[in-house]
Formats: sequence, C-alpha cells, structure tokens
Amino acid sequence: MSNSKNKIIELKNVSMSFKDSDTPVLNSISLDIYDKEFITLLGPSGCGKTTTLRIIGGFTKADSGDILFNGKRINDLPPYKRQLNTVFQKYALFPHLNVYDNVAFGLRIAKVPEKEVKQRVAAMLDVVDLHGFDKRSVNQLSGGQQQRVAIARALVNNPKVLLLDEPLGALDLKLRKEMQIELKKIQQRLSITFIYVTHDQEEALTMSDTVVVMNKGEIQQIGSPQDIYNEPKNAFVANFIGESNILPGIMHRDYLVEFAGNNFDCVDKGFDEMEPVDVVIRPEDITLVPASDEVLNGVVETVTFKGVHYEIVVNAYNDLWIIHSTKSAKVGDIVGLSFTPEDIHIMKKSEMPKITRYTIPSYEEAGANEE
Amino acid sequence: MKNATRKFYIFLVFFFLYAPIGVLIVNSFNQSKSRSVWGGFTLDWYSKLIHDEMILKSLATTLIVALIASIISTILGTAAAIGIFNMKKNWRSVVLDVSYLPIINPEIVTGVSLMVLFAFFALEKGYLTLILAHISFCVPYVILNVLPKLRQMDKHLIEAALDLGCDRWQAFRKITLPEIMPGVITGFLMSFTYSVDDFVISYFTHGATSQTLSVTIYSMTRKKVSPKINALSTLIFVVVLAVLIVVNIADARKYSTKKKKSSSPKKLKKILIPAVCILCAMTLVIGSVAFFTRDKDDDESKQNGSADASFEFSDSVDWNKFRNKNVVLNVYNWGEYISVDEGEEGDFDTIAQFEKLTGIDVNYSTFASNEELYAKLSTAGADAYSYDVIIPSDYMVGRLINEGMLAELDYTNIPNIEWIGEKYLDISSDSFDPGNKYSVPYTWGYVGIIYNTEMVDPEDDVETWDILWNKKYEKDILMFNNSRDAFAISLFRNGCSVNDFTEEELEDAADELKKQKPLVQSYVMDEIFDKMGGGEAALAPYYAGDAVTMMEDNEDLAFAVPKEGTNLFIDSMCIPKGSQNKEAAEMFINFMCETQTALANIEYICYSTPHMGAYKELDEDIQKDPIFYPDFEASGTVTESFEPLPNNITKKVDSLWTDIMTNTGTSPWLTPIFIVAALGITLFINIRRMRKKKQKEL
Repeated sequence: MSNSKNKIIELKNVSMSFKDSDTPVLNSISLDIYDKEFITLLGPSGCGKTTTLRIIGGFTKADSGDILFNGKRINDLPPYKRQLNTVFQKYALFPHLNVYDNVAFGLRIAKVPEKEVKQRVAAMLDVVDLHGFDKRSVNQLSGGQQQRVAIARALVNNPKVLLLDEPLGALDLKLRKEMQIELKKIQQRLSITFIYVTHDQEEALTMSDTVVVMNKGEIQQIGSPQDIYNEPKNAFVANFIGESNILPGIMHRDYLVEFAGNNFDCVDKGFDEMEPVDVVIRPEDITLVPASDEVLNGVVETVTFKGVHYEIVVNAYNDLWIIHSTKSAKVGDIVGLSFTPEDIHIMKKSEMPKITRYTIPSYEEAGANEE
Repeated sequence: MKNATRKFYIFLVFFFLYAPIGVLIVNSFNQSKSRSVWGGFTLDWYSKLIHDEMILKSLATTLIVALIASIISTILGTAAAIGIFNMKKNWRSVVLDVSYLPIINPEIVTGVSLMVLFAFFALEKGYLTLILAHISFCVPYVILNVLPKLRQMDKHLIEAALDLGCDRWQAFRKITLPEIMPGVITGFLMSFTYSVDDFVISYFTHGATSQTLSVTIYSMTRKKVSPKINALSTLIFVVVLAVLIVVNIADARKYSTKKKKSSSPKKLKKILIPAVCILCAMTLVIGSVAFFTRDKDDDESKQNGSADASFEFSDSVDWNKFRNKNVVLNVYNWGEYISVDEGEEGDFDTIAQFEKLTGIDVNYSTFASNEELYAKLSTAGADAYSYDVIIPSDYMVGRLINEGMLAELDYTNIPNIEWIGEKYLDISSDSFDPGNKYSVPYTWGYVGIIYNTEMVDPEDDVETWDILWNKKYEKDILMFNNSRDAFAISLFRNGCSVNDFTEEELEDAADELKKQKPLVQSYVMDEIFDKMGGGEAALAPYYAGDAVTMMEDNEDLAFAVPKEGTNLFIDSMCIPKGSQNKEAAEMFINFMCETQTALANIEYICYSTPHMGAYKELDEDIQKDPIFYPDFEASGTVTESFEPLPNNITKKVDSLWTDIMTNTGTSPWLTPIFIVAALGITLFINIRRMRKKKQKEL
C-alpha cells in the first residue's frame, strides 16, 4: 500500500493475554490500516486474528499498546461509540426481529427519522440483493441470505470501517465463492475500509488489497497477495499461503544454492556465503519429465486426483515433494522433476522449528484442541 | 384388541386425573351438605359463596399476594439470573446452588424459619410478611426458567447490539429481554401458580390481616369444609380451563396460518402474553371487587353511624365510644364459626354488623385447632400476631390461663354477661376458668354416638360406649383420630374421669383402645360426615350439633347419649394479654353476647348456646330437642369438660396413642424392607451409571 493514503486505524504494540494463561494471545502487534483498503487478517486458528479484530471493535480490551482511529486513541471507547460496524461469524441476527427490523436496528438506535430509515434500509437491501425480503423472519432465511442481512445491517449505518469475522465460514463452497466476489464488489462500490478475518488463504488472496499473515500472536508478513504468495518471508508464510515444498539448503554465493544434493542456479542474492536457508518451490511450478541426469529424479509415492490437477508425491533425495500436474503418473515410476531458477525462492531460516505441511494444524484440528 | 386395551389405559389415566375434579364439580351443585348424598340440584353454594366475605377476602388476599409477589420475584429473579450468568464459572455454580436451595428445602422448614425470622425482627404478621415469604420461594423458579434462555442465547447478539450503537442498557432492553422473554413469562406464571398454591409457608407467615384462601379452607376442617369451597374450586378450575382453551385456540390458529414451523420465541410470546394478561386482569378484577365491595358498605355506615334497621341492639354499653378513632380489632376464631351473610333474607353478618354499630374495623381470621391457636400465640410471640379476641376451647383456655397468656376481663364493659346461663358459667369456673375471670362461653356441645338405624340391631343398646366395642359391627365403626377424644371415650366407658385419672386407669383405657382397633374401619374426624351420611359405617362418636346436620341429610341416622358419661365442651371468648385495644375487644365480646348476635350465630353454627336470651328465641322444638339441649341431670349422665393436663401426662397419653396407632397387624418389617429396597434401587442405578461412564471413557 502506498503511503499517500490516510491511515484510518493504527495498532501500536498491542499485547493481550488471557488471565489464566501465560502464553500471550497477541504479542506486541503493530499494524497500520489505510482508508478504503480491503485488509485481511489471515492465520490458523488461535493465531490472534479474531482477537485483533475484537480489540478494534471494542469488544476486548488490550493489556497494553494503543489503538488509534483517525489518529485519536480509542482504547477505552465502548463499541457503540466507535465509527465502525461488525459482521459476526455466525451473523448474530436478532431472532425476534424480521429482516427489515434487523437492518433498521442501528438507524433506529441512532434516532434516524423513520422515513429516512425506510429509504436507507430499502437501498441497502437492494445492495445485498434481498429486495422484497423485508417481512421475512430471519429464521426462515438460508445461510447465504442471513449473511446478506448481517452485511446490510452493518453497512446501513455508513460505517467508516467494516469488520468481518470469518463471515463466510458457514457457507458451502459455491456460495462462498459467489459471496467473495460480491463482498469485494460491495467494498469497491461503497469505498470504505474492510477488515476481514479468515483462515482461508484462497479467500484472502482473492479479495484483499493487503494480507496480514499472523501466527502465534505475531504478524509474520504484511503485503499484497502477490507479495505474500510469491515472496513469502518465512517458511510459515510459504506453507500457509498455498502448499509448498520447503527444503533445507545452503546458499553458496549469490545466485547459487545447494539443496537436494545438487547445486541450482537461482535469482536470489544478499545472503552470507554458505548460509543455511530454506528453499521454497511451489508444487505447481514443478513439471514432471522423464527421468534423466539433467534433472532431479525420484519415485512416485502417491497420486491423488484433485479435480483440476493431480497431486503427486515424489520421493527424491529422501525428501517428499508435492507436485501439481495435469498429467497423472504411476505409483512406483521413476520420474524427473524440472523447475527453473525463477521457481526457486530462498528464505532466511526461520527461528521456529522447521514446519512442513504435515505439521501445520488444520483449522478443524485446532478447533478441537481448543475444546 | 390391542387398540381396545390402549384406549382403556388412556381412559384410566384420564379417569384418575379428572375424577376428583368431576366429583368436586358435581358436589358444587349438590343441595346436600354431605359429599356422598345427592340432595338435588342447586346453585345455592354459588350464591352463598358470592356473599361470603371471609372467603372472598381471602381469595382477594391470595390473588393480590400472588400478583405482587410474582411480579417482584420475576424482576428479582431475572436480574439474578443475568448476574449469575455473567459470573465466573466457580462462583456461578456456588451461587446457583445457593439460590436453588429454597426449592429443595422442605416447605415446612422454610415456613418455620421465615416465621422465626419475622419474629426476630418484630415484624407484625400481615401482607408484608406474606409477600416477602412468597417472594423468597418464587425467585428460584424465575431463575430456573430464565437461565436456560440466557444460555441458549447467542452471546454475540449483545455484541451485535453494542456494535450497532446500543449502550449496555439498550442492549439489554432491546435484545436480551425479548430473547429471554419466554423464560421470564414462564417464570412469572410459575411464581403466580406456586404462590396461589402455597399453604405451608403461608400458614406460618400470614397474619390477622392477610389470610390466604388455602389457610381459610384449612381452618374449616374442624366442622367440615363448606360446599362453598366446591363452588369456588369449580370456578377457579373453569377459569384455568378457559385460559388454556384460549391459548390452545390461538396456538392452533397460528399453526394453520403459518405452515412452516419455526421455533422463534416470538410465537411463544404471542401465546404467553395473552395468558399472562388474562391472569392479571382476572386477579385484579376479582381481587378488587372482593376487596372494595365490603369496604364501600362499611364506609357509608361508619360515617352516619347507624346500624342496619332490621337488627336491634341493646343500650348495654356506649357502642359509639370508639367511632372514628381508627380502632382495629383482630379476631381469631374457628373456621365457619360465626354467622355470615349468605345472600338470604335476614342473614346476619356478625362482623359487618359490629363494624356498623361501633365504627371499629375488624380483621377476622380463622384457625383449625386449639393447638394451631396455641402455636400462633406462643412460638412466635404474641406480639407478632396481636390478636384481640380469640375463641379457644375449654382445656386450651385453662392452659392459656396457666401460662399467663390471657388478660383478665373487665365485666363492667361486658354487661351482657348476665345473659349467659348460670349453669355454663359454673361449668367453666369449675373446670378451667376459676371465677370466670378470663372467658365468656360462646358455644357448647358434647360428644354422643351417631348411628345408622338400618345397620344397627334395634336389640342392641346404643346408649353406651360399649356399642363401639361390639364385635357384631366389625369394620363398621369409626373412631376419633386424636388422642384426647379417643382416650376420653375409653376412660368414660371404664367409669373414670377424663381429667383426673391414675396411670393404671390410663393404661387400661389404652388396652381397651387396642382391643377396639380390629373393629374400627378407620380413624377419622371430619370424614365422619361423609361416611355416616353415605351409609359406609354403622357407628361413630361425634358432636351433637353436627349429628343433627347429618340426620337432616340421611333419615336413617340417629343419635344417642351414652349413659356412662360424655365430654362436654365449651368454646369461650378470651382476650390475649398482648391486646392493644382491650376495651374495644370487650365491646366485641359484649356484642357477641347481644341476644340478636348470639341467636344468629347459634343458628349458623348449629351447636348449643349458653346464652339464655338466644335460647328463648329459638324454635320450641329446638329448645326441647333432646340432642341440642339434653337434660343431663334427669338422665343422670355424667358430663366432664376437658381440663389442661400436666405435661408429663399429655406426653404419656400421646405415646400410648402412637403405640396404638402404629401397632398395626401388618408386618413390622415392611418399613425396613421398603427402605432397603429403595436404597438398593438407588445403588443399582448409580453403579450402572458409573459403569457406563467408565465404558465411555475407555
């Protein structure tokens, strides 16, 4: 993001931990959020992304650090005095009110004249494509419709910032994809700031202007979706943003790296000589070729059909490589792995223990552990 | 076949559920006072009910207390539930358990402890104590109903409301409250029901001014619950039924208009709110009608000070002495033991007449037994009740005198004492009130034998207690179920005194009672009315006046006075020492001794009067009736009144009685076997549960 835009929200060294636990939920987070941007907090469950959102919303208090809104400190401001609105994970629609009354709720609290309420609610129901649903009970709506009501209820108040806490988590895949596009459209049409929380990296990459990758209460990387995907700063980011093959390597000198028993040309520089590094190669960047001395060879271990492509796991040089290919292979075949210097990303060794895709806690697992 | 048994089973279930109510409704239209004899269709009980201020006033008290208590408990309980819900986990379970305690706690304990507490703070028993007591047991029911609703509620709803601009209070009002409303309303309804329902706690916490319906009905049991209560119960049942039908129709209509079923709280609310409204409206209407109709009459006459022209009173005292001085008298009498207006021409409403004549306000309340009266006066301290006039029986008068709880009467304020027959003053002076210093006889009666001429052999002599020991009538004999009365019969039969007996004589009497036991169909009191009336038993001891009432219903019944002697009881008017208005109380006693009053009362109660003026006004056949006014001297029958027994003798009598009653023919093992079986079942269930849990863990 360019600095020419105005900062609307700033977090400065925000920390927070639960009373009965030593490990902090947030460990000195600092983050600038700019006006009219679509920013996504991305990370696995328990990484602190929702807590960050709740601190911005005013539902949770930070132990230390400051939260600024348009340059003013709002640490102690209750939620109803903040110029932002929230779309909750399970929508939190008021079951005793119908669609119209749900959407009109905030306006009525603000004592907006009923005539204006009517216009604005109608307009907002049009925006979320729920025209004619006014009198329906919210319990009679489908998940997607409820989602739209929740969005309308928040947006009708003309907030400067909209907070969205995993708003699409409860929808099925097809609906989710549709809503992603729609949300992005709404954000562009209204041109306000969206702060979006998700654990779904694809969602984050599709919709966001800026992605903030978080893990264990710390920000791992802030950047555009392209930056995050193509230039992950560490193994965690690389692995969390799409699947990756991460291999230990040694940087011999600029543009030359050794891994998997061979030296490869690469496009990275600026490391110490003989510095141990992590080497990342995306599965879709690897092409299967007939085995030869020119390339790295390995044995096909498993082949899984994934719809668009096959996921093929190859054992080469005692590492398991994941390869996405539109062509299938036979288990037990010896194949060659081909990639170009541009496909090789070199990262500093991260301080955390080496993470492979097999140890990253999936969303479900983490959820189960919490209970 | 299978279907038929199924239907029969359903029929059986409903029969058991509704048969009692059916019997009650039928009886409310029964001319006869007896519950087992059909005396023809009548609406009399309903018209009498409408005129009975005692019942209406206690109904009003019940409903008003229920309404106030349930509204306050609903507010308190809802607030408490929200507080508990937001507590830390550990604290929450502790506070929750504590607040549920009143539900688990036996009512009797709650009642007694509240009574002691109120006595400790020297709160006078009345509306305040009653409402406080009811709130204390209603609040947990509200918490119990509101808490689950809070748990069900998505907690993000509150955050959503805050997010949309509500402050905490607005969020509560606009979101939390509508969400938990069904729980709040159910809690309110339960509180209301439990409050109306409650007897035990009300019994201990009501006062002279605030007697609930349940306590009033209970106090009627000495003589026999009036069929007016059947009429009242029928009306209450019909109202509840109507509310249910309205609710169900509303429900059905909702279902038909909206096919898609939704469990939204909105629907529940739509049904419950009218129900609550109907209930409240009903309460207010009945309550206020019952409450104000009476006061209006009073106020009119209190101002101009004239009594009803149709009744005349003597000038024995200055009746106007306390007019306009805001004097209030608390009168405590047996249930159904005073003449009331039942809507018929010439009915004499004792309390209303007194209030009109003197301008003194009377709080009239009722008790069921001498022991209840004694408990009220002694345990909680006389101050807590501040009764001005009480009407205990002979031996209780003696006991209260012995314990210094009665005030000496000033007969210059009770000139009407001259009407009381010398004979009765002598009896009371001889047996329980030496010198007639403390009590003025109100009614008297005696115990005889009521029997069914169709069932008893005309050859047999019924004028002896021996007939109750005659093997011919095995399982056709009824017997008193309280120790003093039962022992009196046995002692008389053995030719002993019922007040002054040796230990041997007492044990002999006990042995005789044991011998009698196999012949006795059941030990009862009030049920003698129905059992004798319905021809279910041949013989029973009972009070003369009530016997006449029974004989009116069933021509086969007759009454005999045993020649060995019998118990003559006198109920007398007294003033407790704590009375704040002794002179006014004496005026009340004087009023009760007016010929007009005494006549009306004795005609209502149907016992015998010690008042010579009233006696002379009675019909000649009643004056000469050998049952109402027997000539004991001519027949040589010994009569004795109960005197207070020394404590150790009372204990001995009671333990012998317990021995007789528990020495049943059934195996003494029954109780232990039952307990062991219950323990076994509990153990079995728990072991199974533990085993299941273990399996689950594995």
